[in-house]
Amino acid sequence: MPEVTLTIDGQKVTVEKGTTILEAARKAGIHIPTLCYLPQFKKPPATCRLCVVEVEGKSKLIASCSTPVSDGMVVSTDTEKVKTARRVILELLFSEHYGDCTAPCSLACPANIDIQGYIAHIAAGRYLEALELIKEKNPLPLSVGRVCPRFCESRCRRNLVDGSVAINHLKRFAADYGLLHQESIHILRPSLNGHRVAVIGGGPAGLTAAYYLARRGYQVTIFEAMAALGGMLRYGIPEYRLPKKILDAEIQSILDLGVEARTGQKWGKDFSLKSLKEDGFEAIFVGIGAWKSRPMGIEGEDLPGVFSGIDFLRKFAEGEKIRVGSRVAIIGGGNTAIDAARTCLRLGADKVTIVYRRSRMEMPASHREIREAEEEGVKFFLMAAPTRVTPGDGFLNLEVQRMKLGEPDQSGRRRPVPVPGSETCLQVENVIAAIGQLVDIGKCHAEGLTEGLDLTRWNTIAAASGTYATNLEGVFAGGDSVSGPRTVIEAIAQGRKAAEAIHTHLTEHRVEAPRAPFNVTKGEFFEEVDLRNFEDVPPLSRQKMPIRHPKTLVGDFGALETGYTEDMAVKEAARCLGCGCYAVDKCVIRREAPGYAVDFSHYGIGTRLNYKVDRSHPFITIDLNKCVLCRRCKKVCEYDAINLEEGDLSSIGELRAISLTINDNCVFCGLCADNCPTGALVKKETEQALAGELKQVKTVCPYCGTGCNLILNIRGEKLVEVSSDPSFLPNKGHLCVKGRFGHDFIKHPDRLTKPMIRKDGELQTCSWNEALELIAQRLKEIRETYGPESLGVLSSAKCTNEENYLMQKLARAVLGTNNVDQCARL
Amino acid sequence: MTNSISDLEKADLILLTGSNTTENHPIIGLHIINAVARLRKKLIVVDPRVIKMTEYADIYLRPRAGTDIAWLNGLAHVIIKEGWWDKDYVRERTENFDAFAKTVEKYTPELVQMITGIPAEDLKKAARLYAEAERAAIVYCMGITQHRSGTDNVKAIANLAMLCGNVGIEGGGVNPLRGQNNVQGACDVGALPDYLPGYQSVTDPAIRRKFEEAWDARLPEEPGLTVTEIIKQAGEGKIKALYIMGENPLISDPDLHHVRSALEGLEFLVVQDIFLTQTARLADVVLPAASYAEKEGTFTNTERRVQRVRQAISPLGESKPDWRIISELSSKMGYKMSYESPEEIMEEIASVTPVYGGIHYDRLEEAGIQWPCPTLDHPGTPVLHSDGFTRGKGLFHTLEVIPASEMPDDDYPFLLSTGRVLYQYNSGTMSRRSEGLNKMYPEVMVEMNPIDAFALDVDDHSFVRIISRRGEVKVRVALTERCQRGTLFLPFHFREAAANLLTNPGVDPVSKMPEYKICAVRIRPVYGM
Repeated sequence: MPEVTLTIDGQKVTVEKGTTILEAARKAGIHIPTLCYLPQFKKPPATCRLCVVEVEGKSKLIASCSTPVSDGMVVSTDTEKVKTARRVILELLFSEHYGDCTAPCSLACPANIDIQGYIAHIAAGRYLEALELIKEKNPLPLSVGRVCPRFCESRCRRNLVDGSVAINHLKRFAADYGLLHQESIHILRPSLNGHRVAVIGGGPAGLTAAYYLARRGYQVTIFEAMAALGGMLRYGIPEYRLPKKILDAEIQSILDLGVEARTGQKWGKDFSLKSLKEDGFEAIFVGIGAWKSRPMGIEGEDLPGVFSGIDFLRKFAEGEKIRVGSRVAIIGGGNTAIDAARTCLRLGADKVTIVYRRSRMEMPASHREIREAEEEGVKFFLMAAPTRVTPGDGFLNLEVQRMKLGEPDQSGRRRPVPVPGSETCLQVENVIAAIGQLVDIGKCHAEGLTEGLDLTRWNTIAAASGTYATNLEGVFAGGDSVSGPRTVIEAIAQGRKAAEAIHTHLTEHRVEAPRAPFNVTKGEFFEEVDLRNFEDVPPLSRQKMPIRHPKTLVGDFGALETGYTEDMAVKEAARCLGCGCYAVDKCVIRREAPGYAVDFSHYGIGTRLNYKVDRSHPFITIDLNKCVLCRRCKKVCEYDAINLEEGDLSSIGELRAISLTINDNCVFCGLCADNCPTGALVKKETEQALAGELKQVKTVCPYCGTGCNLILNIRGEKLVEVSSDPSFLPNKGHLCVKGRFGHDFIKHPDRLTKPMIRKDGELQTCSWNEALELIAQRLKEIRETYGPESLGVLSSAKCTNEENYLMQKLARAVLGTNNVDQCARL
Repeated sequence: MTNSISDLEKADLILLTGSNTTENHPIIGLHIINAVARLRKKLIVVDPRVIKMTEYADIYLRPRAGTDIAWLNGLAHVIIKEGWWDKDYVRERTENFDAFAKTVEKYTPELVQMITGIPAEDLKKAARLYAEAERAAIVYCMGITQHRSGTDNVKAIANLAMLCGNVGIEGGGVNPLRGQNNVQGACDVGALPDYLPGYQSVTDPAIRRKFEEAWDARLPEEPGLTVTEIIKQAGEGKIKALYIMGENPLISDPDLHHVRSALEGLEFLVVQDIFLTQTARLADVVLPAASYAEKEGTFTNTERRVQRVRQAISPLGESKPDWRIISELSSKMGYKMSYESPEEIMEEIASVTPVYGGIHYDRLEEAGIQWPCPTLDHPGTPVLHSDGFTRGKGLFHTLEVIPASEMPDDDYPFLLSTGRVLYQYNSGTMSRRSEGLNKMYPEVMVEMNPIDAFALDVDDHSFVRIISRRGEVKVRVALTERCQRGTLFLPFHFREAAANLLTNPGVDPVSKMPEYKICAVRIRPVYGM
């Protein structure tokens, strides 16, 4: 073949004559995006034009997939003109593209847990897989599953049908299931990578950072000031919401990864950032929480009988004997206030009143917990603020002033304004102030104990968003000590992101926040979502969490909620609408969009459901709302099984009126879905998310004698999907229904996992040694008694050559018989 | 296969017989469909059952089951009579032509029509089409071999191919489609009672000596028993212990009632499998094996291509790859096997197996190699016999029709064939544990011609009992004209209605292949279901 030399982006490339520009660029390692292009077709259609390039001397952009190279050609693939053209093409495709890349629940979750993924696992009965997936983002699901305020559920699209999916209850179910079946959880204790990291503070942020660092092979030591790990989980959340034995089990699962914990170690007293570095810790994560109560700033605050909410809860958790009187006032409307109130009830108080300066709607505590507190008997004195506490005769006088709501403040909540002359007095034995918490660092900072760490003006630690890097090199921070008092799940999110940043800092010597993933949504707010999406969704009411009766609760600190049963969990999981796109990782337009600064404000973005999602095919789901009309599915189908019809393009080239059905010619080979560049055609079996990195293993199909080459796409220890490499014989990328979809037997629960011996007429599990000893002994006995011709061996046409070779060798050389055969004839 | 799968597209004509290719070898079916529909090649389909491939055929011949030698001899008769045969090829590369020509002389199209039901004119047309093709490939499968006359059927095919000079050329050949993923390889490496690895005879003292030296052990001299013979002798109490790896004879072997009593009579049964199969339930010891995705090794496909199997995930639970289990057991029995990896085993295979002499893992990274591959620099052999036959000259066989051991009669008037469907596989151990596949084919059905159904007063999808001299099964009916009148087709994947309760233990006397394509049964409708 004669050769041709051309220049692409200033690089000389020599290729065979007849090569296209695209092929030449790929050979030179230059990326040109394509949509409709299929390498196996000699005449590319060049309809999508995403592959356009500029060729010197040509005024128009040309499609690189269908233009052959010529000698001396000068090609540019990244000029402004090319970029603009590709951007416009992508924007036009997006203007009719309608879907959710990521489900709204996962976007709302601070930790971005793959909620849709784990719920799908629960629905399919794969509870440990669900837990594994949760733990990709959240190492504390036993705790979070009990205490999370559930940002996710507030965004669940099922709210538009009949109420959100009980996401957190499902998380708890998976975590509880894992606790009960601990022996079957595969703990991957990685080999150490030689780096040491210190974590200051053993609360949710610190535990999380430690967990993800340990999973990457770091040797992590947690320094905790208190007597036990857990932070606010242990000392701030009462037993009836999070039992200590559950928390202990959760913490143990993190320590089991090889994390070391040193408790009773206080920063500034027992160690410093400097001493940690001198001891060989290459990076430090600071997660010291927000443990200082915000003072009320009123007269009588220091009187005996008045304490702060967080101190009260902590002391109680530490086992200190605390007595409260029969009447207690709690000041504040947050979760700490509610926790303190309900704890007082359990300590025997008769009348517990929460005093809050705004209305019930504005209370920052979880509304569910407010309701539960009320059911248990907590009283609410709303629109009132304390003005002073004075001592009475064996009791305290709490003077409160009524408030009214004025203009909204920065938080968007209406500011309470005192009503003059409305003062009134409550007689109580105790006042517990729970009006907010602060990071206990200001004093240390003033004394220089923070070693140059920058703080914000709110006296929290200053850390960059996304990486949680502080101003000191190698020092990262997260959790309440950075954000001020927030939720457990937010601390977890920060701890994980900081752990990732520490990893890149130590391995690549850079600190960079990961780019927010590109996302398309069917509507950020409920009112934007086209209700036709839910027309075919039958109503299914939410499974109620079983709880103990409120009246029996206040007598003890036993857990309130008893958890879903397996049956309830599976039913609840089936309510998930599966909003997120299953092709999110392979989607070509999503991958290319950020590089061309695609802007939906130019041509808009799909906002309405134009096509009903078609789930009638047994293996493939068709969602034409995501179709970009590349026609690859039709072109690759060897069986003429795709009926694809399309209306005219609109005046600006938008796609209109596509109809795609799979007809009776279909042999269920799955090649169309393999070739779809978006989520328009999706293999149903991939409608599940799995934990771990994706790896591809090339192997051979275990079914018939054709010997098709397969690629097993594996995540963790699970098969995600099966594909095939079109460049290899004998199947050139084609597979049949069994080769493509018939592999779930690998992980079937019926698989044999232990040797068995028949005892007393029953097969019973035993050790390998026991089984093999017995076989060796019996075969020898029978050979000696009846001769080798009394032995037979059936080898297997399903096993490898090597195994068949060994089997016949065993028969002949060891057992002494040629009685060896396999099912070649059957 | 003498040739390669991709070679089918180089043929000018494909003669397909006894293979429901689109269901049993779908990707090979696709190659054939491509050859016909896109490359305009010719296709002759010969099959008692109407299959998908008949839609693509230029000529479709529909013989009665079990009459293959008749139409094959008939084709040869026409070709010789008309002088269309390849005289140079026959003279230079074959022998015994005259005797062969004499045998087929009496197989006139008219006689063939009487035996097979194929119209004489169609047979003549097919003969012409086959003979005119410069390169003609014959593709066949179990529809040819699972007969009492299976070996002769294959020889008759070889006769036809040699007659027109189609063996040893690209786009030609005699191409059996092997059933299981590694049935070819299992035979290649000696899992056969009469051959050591590489089809080296156990009765040849020089060969035995070579292996005795390589393995440092005394080897038995007499050929052993085949599967069907082993089961038979177990039933007679001669086989006392059986070690079964990855096989499920309690679904896959003929006459299951007999198989069960034979296995139950054993003194000791070991089953090594990935599932607790019907067979494993009878075992004294069950060993958990790793699946194909959990181990390394090689499979050899139907075109003799040795390809790498690679580990993707860890073995489930305490299961182990079969090679490791065998090694450990052997060592326990006092014969040390200390292989570190399947690669090391393949090195040993290559050292004792001339046709695998050049097979080495490093060479299998990409597309695999087709044996014979005697040396490390040998590229492999896509087409066999291009430089002559293994025995020197190709031998024409003289063959006559042999009736099946059990034909329909007044008591058992239907002829039952068994086979596979696309969505299931063999004993169902794998495919029946796949959710999607079971959605597609959840329940076994017997195919019956609507006219027979009318006579029996049987509706589509109603239940019937199929009764043979050995057993009976209850199964739903699927009415279809794919089946000839008087014949039934029953897939054998389902233990609930195991086809092999019915099949007869008759075998081909040479290959010992069971006669799965023919047994006699009667039908009794089941009412009120």
